[in-house]
Amino acid sequence: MPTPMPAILEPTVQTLLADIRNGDPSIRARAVDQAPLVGVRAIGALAEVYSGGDPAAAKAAHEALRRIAHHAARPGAPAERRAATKELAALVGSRRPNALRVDAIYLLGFVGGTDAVAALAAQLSDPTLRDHARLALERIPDRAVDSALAKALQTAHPDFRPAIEQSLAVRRSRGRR
Amino acid sequence: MSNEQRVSRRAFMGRAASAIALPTVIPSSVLARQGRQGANDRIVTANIGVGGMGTNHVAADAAAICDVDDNHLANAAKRVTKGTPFLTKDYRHILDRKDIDAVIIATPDHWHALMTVHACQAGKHVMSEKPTCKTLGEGRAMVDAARRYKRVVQIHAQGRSNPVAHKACEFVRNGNLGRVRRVEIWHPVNFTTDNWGAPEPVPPTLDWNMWLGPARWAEYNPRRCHFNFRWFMDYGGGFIRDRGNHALSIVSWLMNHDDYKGLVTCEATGTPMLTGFYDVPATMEVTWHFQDPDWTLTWSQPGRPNPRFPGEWGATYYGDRDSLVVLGGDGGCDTEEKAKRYEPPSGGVRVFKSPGHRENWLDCIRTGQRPVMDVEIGYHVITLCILGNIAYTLGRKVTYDFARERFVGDEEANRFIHEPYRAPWRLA
Repeated sequence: MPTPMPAILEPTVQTLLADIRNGDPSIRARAVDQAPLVGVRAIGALAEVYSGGDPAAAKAAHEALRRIAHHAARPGAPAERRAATKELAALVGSRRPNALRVDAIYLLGFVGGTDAVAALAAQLSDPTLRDHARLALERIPDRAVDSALAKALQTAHPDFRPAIEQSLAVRRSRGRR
Repeated sequence: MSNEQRVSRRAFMGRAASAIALPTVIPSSVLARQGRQGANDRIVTANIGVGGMGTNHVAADAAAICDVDDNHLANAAKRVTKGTPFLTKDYRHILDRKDIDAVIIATPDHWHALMTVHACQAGKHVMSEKPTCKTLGEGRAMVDAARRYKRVVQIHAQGRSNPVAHKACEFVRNGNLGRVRRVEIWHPVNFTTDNWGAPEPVPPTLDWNMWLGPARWAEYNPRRCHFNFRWFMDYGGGFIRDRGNHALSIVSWLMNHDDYKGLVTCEATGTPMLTGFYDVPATMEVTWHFQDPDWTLTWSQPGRPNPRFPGEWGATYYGDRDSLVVLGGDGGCDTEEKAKRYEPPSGGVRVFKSPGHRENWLDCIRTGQRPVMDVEIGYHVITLCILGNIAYTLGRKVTYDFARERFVGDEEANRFIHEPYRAPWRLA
């Protein structure tokens, strides 16, 4: 975790974005390191950079997003975790590039709880995202996931039903242990 | 191509008779006691994964070879000089064969656990390349399968069979350093690329869907595949899970730490890989702290070689009386003269000396004993490597309870224990 700074020196969303876009790799790396200090409020803006045409800036934005999400899910910070879930869920349901939505889905598997289930379950009918969403749901230890998967099974494409059944079975076998 | 695996789970262990023509061969184990080879029986082996390191495992009399790349298959087949091996791209065809006693797994890392569990279920003994596994849940499943099906499962962290490492082990275990409170490992940085991972056509020789197997779907790029998989968290996890398995295996052995069941804290920092599409950190610093007895282990990548006895990678053991440098820990290992010359006194600690890693594995198949790098030790060792990656990813210190096999007070960290698989792949 980055060392807290005096308030006047703390990075803002604007300075974080400027550093993420900077051509100097050491400045980008520092920005990624400090991204958790800016926190969840930077997620939407980082998504803009991620969706832009500069692969180096997009990679730095991806790393910053990842660090912000995991920092928000640390023990003892439930409000931050909920805020991160809300922001990531919005990305999942957005019209952003699929690579970004896949990353947001993956992070929701770690960060999300009941509050992430609806956003993930909504992707179970999207042929390009459904398996990523299933994998994220399988990871979330919440009973709402089982209900969502069971419901999706009723309408899922026949090709995808075995995958949903597998997730349900894996969750049942872990629940028994 | 669809992002879901198309091969039915039901295919495993049930359909081979109709799907492929199999020779009728009497399994060698039938000739001996049930489930164990006789002392002079030939143990029929097959190889799964024969690119890179896997090529070296192919014996002249290998009965079958599997690889998802036709080029690997063709190259490996040339190494077989006694008989004609059965070649396949699907390891389940090998597991279905009754004439094969044991398999050597040298696939990319994300396959090790699944194949080991399936091989045990099919009654095969296993030697699987390091790293033991990708996730903690996989390690537990491997140990459970080995015990349930009474198979000999050796992890190919072959430093445990290295005679120089053995010398170092007896030197440290007999107290020549005094009480060791700190071990520092140094290692070069992870590889980098300027490739951003744009999808490329899958070569006609490669079954990309099968290469990915249980891992989440990703488009093919040659920098994601063969050898380079090491630089992705989804497959290899960087040097800490690769060579780290070797390095930490030697540390655990010398420190007599394989049975540790207490708590360990782990902190990790690193430089993110911001150029190219590899996603392991470029550099990494990891610190583990153990309790009762208290001691600290560090992984520095890059680290500074010990100037007293330098080498590309290795570890320095700091005791309250002396220190010792041990280099490497895979097939290559070296240490200082004081340890190489050492002979334990009468009544001193004697450590089992392996005749060679493969030989030890084959011996244990015949005797039913546990091998020198039994899967349970492999699981213990790789746990530390995996904790390093989890602590890095989370950006915070984690505490892991070896007895409960759970993180303490960190619900998110516990979500790393199991990695959901693409269908139809399941561990149990």
